[in-house]
Amino acid sequence: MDCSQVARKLFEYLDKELAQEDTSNLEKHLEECRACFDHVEFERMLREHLRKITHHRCPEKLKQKIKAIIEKF
Amino acid sequence: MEDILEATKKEFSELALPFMDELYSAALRMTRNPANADDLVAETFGRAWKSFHQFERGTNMRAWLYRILTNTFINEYRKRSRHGVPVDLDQYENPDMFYFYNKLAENVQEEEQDPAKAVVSKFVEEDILKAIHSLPEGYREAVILADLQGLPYEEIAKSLNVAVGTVRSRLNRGRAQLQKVLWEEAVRSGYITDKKMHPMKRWSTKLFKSLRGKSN
Repeated sequence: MDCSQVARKLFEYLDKELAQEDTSNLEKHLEECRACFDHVEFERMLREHLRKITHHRCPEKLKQKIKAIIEKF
Repeated sequence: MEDILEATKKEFSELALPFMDELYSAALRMTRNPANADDLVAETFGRAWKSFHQFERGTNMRAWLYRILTNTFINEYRKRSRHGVPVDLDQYENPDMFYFYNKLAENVQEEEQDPAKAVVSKFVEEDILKAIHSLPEGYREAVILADLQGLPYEEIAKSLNVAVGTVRSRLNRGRAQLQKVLWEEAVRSGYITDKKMHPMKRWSTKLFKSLRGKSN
C-alpha cells in the first residue's frame, strides 16, 4: 500500500470498516512512513477531541423519568 | 401475569437502560438543545418499551435503539432544531478530504510543540456543533453517528433507512465539508492565523474577533 492508497482508506481504517487484509497492509505502511503515521494520528486525535467535548451523561432526572415510564406501563 | 410483566420490565431494563448515557449524548448532538434532547430520549425509550415485543431477542439492542432515536428525531424534532443555512455539497466536485489537516500543515508555527494538537484543543463544544450543523440534513446525522457515536456503517444505514453505499458517500462529502468548516471556524475564532489570507481580510477577522469578545 502506498501513501495515496492510505489517504483513500484512512477514514475507513479509523471507522474499523476495512477488511483484515487492508488493515494489515495499511498498518504495515504506517510502521514505515512517518508522514502517513502522523496524519492518521492527527485525524484520530481530532475525532477523539470532538467526541470528548460533545459528550454528556444523561441527567439523573431524565433517567428517573425513563424508569417511571417503564414502571407505569 | 403480574410476574411475566415484571420479568419483561426487568429484561428491558437490563438490555436497554445501559444505553441511556450514549443515547443522551447522541440526542444532544442532533438537537443542540437540552430540553429537546430530554424529550427525544424519553420518547425513544418509551417507544422502545412499548414495542419491546417486536424486538428480536439476540439481535443488537443498541442498533435498535439508535434506529428509534434517529427516526423519532427526523420525523419530529429536526424541524425544530434547524440552525443556519446548510451548504449545498454538490457545488464541490472533488472535495479535499483532509482540508483541515492540510491547512494546518501550511500554517502552524514549527517551533511549537505539537502545534496541530494545540489548535484542535482550543475548539469548544459550540464550535464543533456549529460546524456539524452547517452540513446538510442526512449528511449531518451520518457524521454524528459515525464520528461522534462510533456506529458501524451497517447500523448507520439501518438508523437512517438508507443503503450502506449511501452512508459511505454521505460520510465522504460530509467529512470533507466538516474539515473545511472547522478550519474556517479555527481562523474566525483566532485559534490560528491563515498566512495565505489577504492582509485586509486578516485584519477584519481580527477586528470581528475583538468586537465579539467585547460583546460577550
